[in-house]
Amino acid sequence: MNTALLGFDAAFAVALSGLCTAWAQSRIGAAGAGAIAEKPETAPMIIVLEALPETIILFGFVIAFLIIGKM
Amino acid sequence: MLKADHGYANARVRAMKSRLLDQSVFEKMLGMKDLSEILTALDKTSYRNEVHEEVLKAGLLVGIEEGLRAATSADLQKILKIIDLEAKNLIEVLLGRWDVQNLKTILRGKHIGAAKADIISSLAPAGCLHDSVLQELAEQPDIRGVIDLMATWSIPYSKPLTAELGKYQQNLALQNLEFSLDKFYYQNTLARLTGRSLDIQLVREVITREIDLTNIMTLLRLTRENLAPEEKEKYLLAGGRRLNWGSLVKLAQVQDADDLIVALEKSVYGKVLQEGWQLFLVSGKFSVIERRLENQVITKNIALFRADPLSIALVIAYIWAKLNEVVNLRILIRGKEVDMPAKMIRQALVLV
Repeated sequence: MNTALLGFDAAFAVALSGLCTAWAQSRIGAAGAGAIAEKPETAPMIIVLEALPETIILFGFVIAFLIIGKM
Repeated sequence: MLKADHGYANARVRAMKSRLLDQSVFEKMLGMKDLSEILTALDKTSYRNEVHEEVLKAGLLVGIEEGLRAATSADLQKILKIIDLEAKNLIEVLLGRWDVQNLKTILRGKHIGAAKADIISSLAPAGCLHDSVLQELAEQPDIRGVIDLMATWSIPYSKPLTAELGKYQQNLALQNLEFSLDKFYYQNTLARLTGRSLDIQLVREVITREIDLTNIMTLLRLTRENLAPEEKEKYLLAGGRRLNWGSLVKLAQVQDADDLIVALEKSVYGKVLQEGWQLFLVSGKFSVIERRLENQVITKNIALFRADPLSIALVIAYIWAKLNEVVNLRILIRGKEVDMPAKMIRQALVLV
């Protein structure tokens, strides 16, 4: 039972951080596409900004990994 | 319901905003000797391609003006393409203001028998009515021809004009036709702006502020013409932002323009009216008050650049800033063409 709960928690950590990352990237992607359309020279900066929210899912993964370590 | 996401459009508009000319460019242009120097200066702006294309076709003055019109029109069309449907409907409502302005320009031109080219050069490069439609309307021999053609093409503005045409033909008073257009536009617009979203509220704010200032100008003009209060009321528009119908009726009772300025002293428009009134007393030109009130509208609407960055405030502010820029450029090149002193040209510009 305890193992099942921990497994669920680990999955929840990854799923929630994944959803948040997707939402943030969608907003940044839309605005970034607009900025690049008008000013192509901003592309490198936009790519960096687009990648930033991926740290969120990395945190989720680390938390999930720590939870799995307790199993 | 999820809030509409204007992230893509706003990012593009923000980038387009960075291409607007700043005050220093206008200062440089004011110091230039002639149109050819201004043409060279425009080479470094977003107007470059359109202006050069039109100058080759139509010569320096007309070419620059046509180039500015073409570039602005293309800019506005681009905005309508990149925003979502709901925002597009709202922006089209706002652009209707320039349709009314352009139709008034055509009617005024026909009223005084102006040449087609002069009418067309005075049209604003904005609005939902296509350039070719406006050109065809400007080609009509008289006001009746313009209204008949509008009715044939089912342009909605033909309804109020057709209703007033009989009166116009009797007394040749253009203000009735113009007022019927204003009334039709503002009533229809306010009826469409129902809902509580931030975007709708923003557009409503812009429209109702304009109604207030139109009413103030109407009251000032009619009070100077010594019209009876009940006659003045016929030319007032309902639905203002700060001045409701009750206060408008009270203001219509005021018999003297000086007293009207005093009566409006404590309203939000008091300060700007006082300034305009002082300028009028010095220059004797009533148009300076009108220009001062227009400045107020332009400044307030361009200030929307600082409003909620996730709403369509940015788009509204950009449209006003762009059209103000084109008007400024046209004033500048017209002034340079007739060798007007830089100081006088600067006074006519609205640099926000």
